[in-house]
Amino acid sequence: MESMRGQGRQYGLGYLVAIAATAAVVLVRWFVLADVFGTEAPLYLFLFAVAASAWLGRLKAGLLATALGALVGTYFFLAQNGWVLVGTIDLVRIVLFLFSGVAISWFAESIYRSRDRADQQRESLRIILESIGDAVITTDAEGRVTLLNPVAATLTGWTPAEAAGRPLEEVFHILNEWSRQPVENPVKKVLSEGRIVGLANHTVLLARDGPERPIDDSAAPIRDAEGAIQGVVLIFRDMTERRHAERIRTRLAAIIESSEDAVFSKDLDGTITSWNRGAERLYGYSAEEIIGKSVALLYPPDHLNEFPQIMERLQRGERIEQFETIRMRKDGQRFEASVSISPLKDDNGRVIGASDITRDISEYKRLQQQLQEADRKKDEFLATLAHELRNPLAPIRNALQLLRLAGDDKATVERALTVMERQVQQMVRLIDDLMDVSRITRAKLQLRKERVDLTTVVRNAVETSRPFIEMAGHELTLTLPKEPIYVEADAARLAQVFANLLNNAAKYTEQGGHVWLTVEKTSGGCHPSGEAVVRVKDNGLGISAEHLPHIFEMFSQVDHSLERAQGGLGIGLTLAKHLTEMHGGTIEASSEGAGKGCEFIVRLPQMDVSSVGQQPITASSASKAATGQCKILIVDDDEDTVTSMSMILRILGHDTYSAHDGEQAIEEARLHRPDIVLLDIGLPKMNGYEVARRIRQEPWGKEVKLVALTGWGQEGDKRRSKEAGFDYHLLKPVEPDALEELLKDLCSDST
Amino acid sequence: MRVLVADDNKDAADTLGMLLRLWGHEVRIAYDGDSALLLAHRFKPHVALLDIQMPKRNGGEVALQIRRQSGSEKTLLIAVSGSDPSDPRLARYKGAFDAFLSKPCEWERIQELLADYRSHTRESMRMYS
Repeated sequence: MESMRGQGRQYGLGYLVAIAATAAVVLVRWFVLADVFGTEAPLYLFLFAVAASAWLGRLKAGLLATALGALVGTYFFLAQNGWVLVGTIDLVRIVLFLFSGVAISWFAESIYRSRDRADQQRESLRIILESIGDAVITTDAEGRVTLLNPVAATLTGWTPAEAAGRPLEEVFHILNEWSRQPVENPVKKVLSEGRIVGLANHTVLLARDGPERPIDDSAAPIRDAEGAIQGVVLIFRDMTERRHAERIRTRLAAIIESSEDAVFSKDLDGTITSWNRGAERLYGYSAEEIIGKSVALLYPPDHLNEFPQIMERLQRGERIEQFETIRMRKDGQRFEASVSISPLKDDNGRVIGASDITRDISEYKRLQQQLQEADRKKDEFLATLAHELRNPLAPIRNALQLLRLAGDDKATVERALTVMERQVQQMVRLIDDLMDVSRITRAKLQLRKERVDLTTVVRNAVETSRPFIEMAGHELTLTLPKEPIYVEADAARLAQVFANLLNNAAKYTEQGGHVWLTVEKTSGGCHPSGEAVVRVKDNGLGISAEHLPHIFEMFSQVDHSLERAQGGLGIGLTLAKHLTEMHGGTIEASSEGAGKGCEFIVRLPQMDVSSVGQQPITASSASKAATGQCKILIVDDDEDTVTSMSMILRILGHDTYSAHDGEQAIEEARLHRPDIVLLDIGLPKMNGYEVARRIRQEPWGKEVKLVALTGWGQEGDKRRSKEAGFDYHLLKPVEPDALEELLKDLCSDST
Repeated sequence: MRVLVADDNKDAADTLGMLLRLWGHEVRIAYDGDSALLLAHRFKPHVALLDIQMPKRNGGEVALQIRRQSGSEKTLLIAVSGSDPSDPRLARYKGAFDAFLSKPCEWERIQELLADYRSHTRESMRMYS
């Protein structure tokens, strides 16, 4: 519109000029030059008006001036009388004039037109250069800047006006990104070599105003029609964005590559298109062998039905997050996996595939199961603990009620008290075990290790467990070596190991079974001075292969049925294992299966015999050192009395042995050489007086303190016991305090 | 009354038996499930106090078997157990028992149950189950 109006104005001006110039020629010719020319050159001068009009008003103005000049010239100067022409010569003049005017106008117009074309070309070139996204600089043949487009101006920091005429090096200042050395200017190269030159990588452009940018450029010669180099055009672009994007891409690729998770992509029919190192590790396929294959290879056959479902969801653009399932390795091994799958979209938002992240959660699942198992065991344990604590409470409460009702009935009172003692002891043992387990798990249990004879430790353990074994009517076969076996141990704690194993054997063997305990030395094993091996074997219920690996675990109980014959907390074997290990030993269990009995084997490092030294610590002094008290034999045909008394004495720190009839009493005394014998008078097979007399006849029996326990307290009874060789005479029921007092005296005597 | 006591803890069974005898009942004692069932069959007790966790046959099974014997409809069956009454293993036996006592049970509670039994039919005792 603007140019149309401009053109209109130009034409308007041209017409005015045509009229004015024609009028001026008429006036000049009429008044000034009439004398000079006369009738000559009537039209000639109008050609000046035509030229002026065409020059200022282009073709149409020129044509108007021509027409006006012809008309006005003919009228005023050519024709004599109005429009009457004289001859053909006048017509020729007019035609020549018209021809000349048109030619001049046309010539002016063509000059105009070519100038317009040149303007247009220049303008469009300028627009192109300005709107082009790349930076463009042109130079002349000397390498001086001739043109700088806006992008180039921004990147270099020079305005086109400032840059024009300066040497290119000044405006276009480039360095190597790493070495910081100037890079050879490409324009020079183009000028000298005459060919297109590209920049090396890692070139940065240092702008006049400070910032530097990585660039990518090329330079080409500008040649004229003859091929001579007129200058150079240099085109370059800012690579900052692209370099940044590349860096991010590289970093992302590195992250994916180094991921522990398997990360891969697939297209919509499930063909794998990329495969990271994590995927290689997890699935066992290398990228080369799996890319192009179907993702179905990773599904176990029984999970293949997931595949179409997943693909369907992906096509709907849904994400699948942490879907727990099973996947399969190259070797066919299955593993528990957590899978996250996200659709991959093209620029139009169309789903073209999916990225797939697989994480192996087998270990996590295993831990979770372990935790659940531990939690379940803990709950079971708490229920068992409640049950085991309630169980002894029932008879205690009953016995209390009995005491209330018994009045003077001595037998009932005695019975009730015995029951209470036994059951309290049961609870104490339970709680002791609990405390031990707690100490062991908190690593608070300390051993007082010293050189002890293992056979003595084992004998003590047997004594502790004998009541259980006998109550169950089991036969115990004890096989001990004649030689002592020295081990470095806490005698009391090590005895606990074997007592627990014996109790366990007694518990899980049907009434009247058989228990074997064997101690032997081996020269082999892991220890240079050989091992001591203790085997506890029974012909009881055995352990199924399923339970065998868990038998030493805390709270582990094989039988959870309501028909379970024996109580307990399931910590005895745990204790045994921990205590054995604290002694540097090992413990193992074996069984041929349920109903086939079982065997526990404890191996302990033997002490180097040479290090035992000149004065071997004797078995008895070792055990005495461990307890610091006496060895006491309790003889009574009433089992409850023996148990309760043995309990009290053990609490006081003594080692106790027991016998239930006269003959057994002498046997036990011979075997254990007790410091004190508490002897009931009314015994089966052989009465207490006779037992006392026999012990006194033995060479080892002179120093033994013999204490008579009897219901008869008459003077005659006392005299009779004294005659038989007794040192003391106590009346039943024995007061624990009196017994403690007496033992205090006796023990300090004997040691 | 004839009372059967079954408990594998001998002390518990014996002392409870002694108490019941002191109170004038005729008592038989069993230390496992099989013997308890045998005694129930022979002795035809009015009341049976059964521990649940017992070897050979648990107290719940004993109760179910007793219920199957003819003439045992009127027998008062009391569970005496150290287990939690909500233990799922006990669920199937609940119906067989008239009452469930937790160890250590109060002597007064047993007396109460026996006294009620003496004066009512077993059906009216159902409130204890």
